[in-house]
Amino acid sequence: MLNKVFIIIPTLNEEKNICDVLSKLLLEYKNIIVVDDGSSDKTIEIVSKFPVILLKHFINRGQGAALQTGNEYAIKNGADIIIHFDGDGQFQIEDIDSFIKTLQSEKYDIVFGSRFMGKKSNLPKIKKYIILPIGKIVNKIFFNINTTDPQSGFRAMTKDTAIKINIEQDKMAHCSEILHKAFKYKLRIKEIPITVKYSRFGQSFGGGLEIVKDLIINKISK
Amino acid sequence: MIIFKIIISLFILFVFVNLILQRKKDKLTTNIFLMWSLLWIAIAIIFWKPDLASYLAIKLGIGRGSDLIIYISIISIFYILFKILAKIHNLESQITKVVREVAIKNNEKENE
Repeated sequence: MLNKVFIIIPTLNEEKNICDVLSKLLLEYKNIIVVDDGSSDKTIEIVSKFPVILLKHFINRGQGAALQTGNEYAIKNGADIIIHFDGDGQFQIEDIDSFIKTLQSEKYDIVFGSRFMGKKSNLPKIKKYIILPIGKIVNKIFFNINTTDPQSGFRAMTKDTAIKINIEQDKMAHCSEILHKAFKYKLRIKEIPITVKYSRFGQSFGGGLEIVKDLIINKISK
Repeated sequence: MIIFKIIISLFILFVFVNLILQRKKDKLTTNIFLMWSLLWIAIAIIFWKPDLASYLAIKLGIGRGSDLIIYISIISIFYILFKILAKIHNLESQITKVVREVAIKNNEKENE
């Protein structure tokens, strides 16, 4: 039975949302790791008031880097299950339980949340019809991966999976990297539906291009 | 023209001495040292024997010696650019590892 669950939340200037997210999460979960990625607002001050583990990047290194920091801490501290969550309140806490149950069935090594599997999400149209389809094509070209959601940040994995998947993409290309490694290491993968409530646009088209650039540099510099 | 050639040759000599000193101090790997040395030797030869570039260009089917030099220069610049990008990428990863280590260590210290 897998039972020690760690929830990792990377933050960067999340003073408006983090209080609400942590208050709700703490009602149900206790091992919460907030990895602050060099916030310049009051995020650290707010997070410090909560009984959570706070890891501080003294300079900004990107979301992928923050998640890997959280992963390493969780592995070191006996995690059985690691969940990647967002600090901006767009993911639903009620969905976490489905991730844990899917992993606890011990049939899967990694579970990805998908915004395109039935549950309703208020995705901006440009994102739904342009950016994410391009993301799917990029994943297909670079990694030969077919998933319903190419860039979901809501995922859960077992400790062994976290050890195998060492996130090397510091910025936003980590979503594609994790998917790629999950397929490369032939892990047992499952996609489950999630609901996402967008309060802001998130990844822009320029951000998408940045991901492609990072993937290319990473591919050719090895 | 001869004054120009002498100035360029002195400059190449200065670069070459610098390369040797850097190699002696172990600041350059053997491969990098050889690559730069060959490049500067080639530049020196082409400066003193420009006909050689034309000869090589004809052999390679390019036509003019100056075109050959431009092609080789562009390829070299792109290669160097690629090496620098890869180096920066590598350094970025190292910085991230340091930042990560500090974040985890600081948390452990705070909890002691």
